[in-house]
Amino acid sequence: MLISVKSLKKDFFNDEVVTPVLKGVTFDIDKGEFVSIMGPSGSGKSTLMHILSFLDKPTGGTYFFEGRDVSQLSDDELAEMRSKKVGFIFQSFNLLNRSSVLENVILPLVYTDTSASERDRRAKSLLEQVGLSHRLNYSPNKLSGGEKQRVAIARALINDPEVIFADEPTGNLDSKSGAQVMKILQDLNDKGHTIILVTHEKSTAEHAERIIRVKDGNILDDCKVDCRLRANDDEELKK
Amino acid sequence: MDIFESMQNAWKVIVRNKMRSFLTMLGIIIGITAVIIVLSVGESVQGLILNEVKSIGSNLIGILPGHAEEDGPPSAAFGVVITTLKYEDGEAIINGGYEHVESVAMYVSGSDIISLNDKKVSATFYGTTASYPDVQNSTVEEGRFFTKEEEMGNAKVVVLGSKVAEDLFGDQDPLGMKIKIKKTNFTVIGILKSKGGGLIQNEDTNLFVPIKTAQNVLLGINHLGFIRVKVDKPENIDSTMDYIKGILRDRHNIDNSSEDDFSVRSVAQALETISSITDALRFFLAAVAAISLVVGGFGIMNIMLATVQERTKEIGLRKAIGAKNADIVRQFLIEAMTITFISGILGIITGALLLFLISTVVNAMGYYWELIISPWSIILGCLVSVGIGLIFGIAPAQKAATLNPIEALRYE
Repeated sequence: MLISVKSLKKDFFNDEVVTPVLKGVTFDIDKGEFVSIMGPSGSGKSTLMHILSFLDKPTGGTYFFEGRDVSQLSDDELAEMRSKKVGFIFQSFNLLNRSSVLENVILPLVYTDTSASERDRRAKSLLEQVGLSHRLNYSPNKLSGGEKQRVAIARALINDPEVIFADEPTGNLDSKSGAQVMKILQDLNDKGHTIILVTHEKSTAEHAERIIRVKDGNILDDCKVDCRLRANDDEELKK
Repeated sequence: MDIFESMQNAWKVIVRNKMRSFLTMLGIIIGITAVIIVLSVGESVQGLILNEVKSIGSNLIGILPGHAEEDGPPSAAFGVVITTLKYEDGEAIINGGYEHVESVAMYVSGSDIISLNDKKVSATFYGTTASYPDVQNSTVEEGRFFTKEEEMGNAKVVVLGSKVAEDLFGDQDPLGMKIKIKKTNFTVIGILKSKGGGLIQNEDTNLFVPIKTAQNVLLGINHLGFIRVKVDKPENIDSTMDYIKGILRDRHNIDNSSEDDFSVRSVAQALETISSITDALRFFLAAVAAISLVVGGFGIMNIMLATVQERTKEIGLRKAIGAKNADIVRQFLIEAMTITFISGILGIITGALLLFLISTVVNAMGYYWELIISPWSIILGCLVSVGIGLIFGIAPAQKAATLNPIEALRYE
């Protein structure tokens, strides 16, 4: 078991007004799964992702990652987990325009003790995998949206993470680039990477083999295999 | 997080908004410039004073007419004409037979346009005693100095400073020629060897005539400008000063030191007065340095806070991909220190240029001024500038580190 959450709760406090955002969610995710967390905005799916990816702490319940209780870790321990265990793909790419494509991909390794030559070697190999070897020294703002997201994917993979979190990865992309990005995620999953995709779009969510639907801080349903079938149905319909 | 990357970031911050950066860095630049000048000028002044002591000797005592407080300048220094000091006072000091007194020279002075045929040079002339070269450590390069007989006998002879001789005569041999001072003809009998400019007196640009001639013929007075006494050894200066005071009080019928109508100073004391003036100047510059460094520090704080604000999203990203709070603090501290260090280097360069300018100007004015850029001042300048970056960078760096990564990532 990679991820195991039980009765996970998150309350936000604002001027002594308590807003419950997650009201106690429970599920497990195995290594190698491709899971979509789906829900409308305000459903709590983003908060759930923030807790799962160690950006935030729950206010109740337990979160076990690789069998370790991580719900009470300190800020520095959480940073350590983010540095070693997870990779992020954001809707708005979050690349540093002042740095080159290569430097952007290397960035997560700056906070580890990886040697400079090893950093370079890994980054170049990953950029080759996403088809951007010819853009190493470009500034990200010279790239197209699809290219930017592929740089971000290479960056998410550089620390060889246990889980890749993709937060609306196709939200800022045209459909062709979006499909390309989803294809890469699919391929990564086929190679054994665990992927957790957060989206409000059904069509994107259905690339996953499992969809957890969240609404008003609760899990609405959590379906496996058949989702894949439904996605296929959708593909059929489009044709 | 490597230091080099943070330094590169700092450089980018500076370059992206050159004008803003320059204005923010100005405080540090001025502050470090002042630090460099304060420290280096001190050494140059010391050199100037040492040179002065070397050229006129540290074993001289000066006697000026008029009362003076212990450390204050004598009233004669303000141009007040006081007539209490007489030729006979000087003679009494010699004739007193005090064993440590080697020789005594007396002086009166005036300025005039000195003329040789049509050539005219404005210069200061001194009426002095035959003991002048001995007291002043001066050497006669050509010809001779005037004798005691000439001094007493109103002889119209003159000894020229090297610069005056050159200005008036050029390549001509001045010995035996006649020049006019105050419409009176004087025969040139000697030329002094050049000593270079001094703080108190620049001998090269002066002329020297027998004191009685100056008093009676040129100035029409019977008092003295000042007296200098040469003491055998520096350690006997204090006792000799007491001896001189005793003789003068006796001659002037004074019972109490507060009624002295003269002041006695050693050369060392006179130079201390000069160095106390430069000390005041240095203190002022040090204050300028301190104030502009503090003001500059707040400027740096301001630019760093603006940078943190502009780069909120970047900070969020860095934290998301594993940067600890300490990593973020370090990054922004190094950025701040890089900016202040670059300001410091610019300040050191500006300071060095100004010191060069000062030495060029002062040397052109004929004084001895060694261009010293103290290595300590450079090291201190570097340390202080980096220190300012550290002190004033902490608050912005803390602010960056404590940003919530989720909110920072959403920041637009």
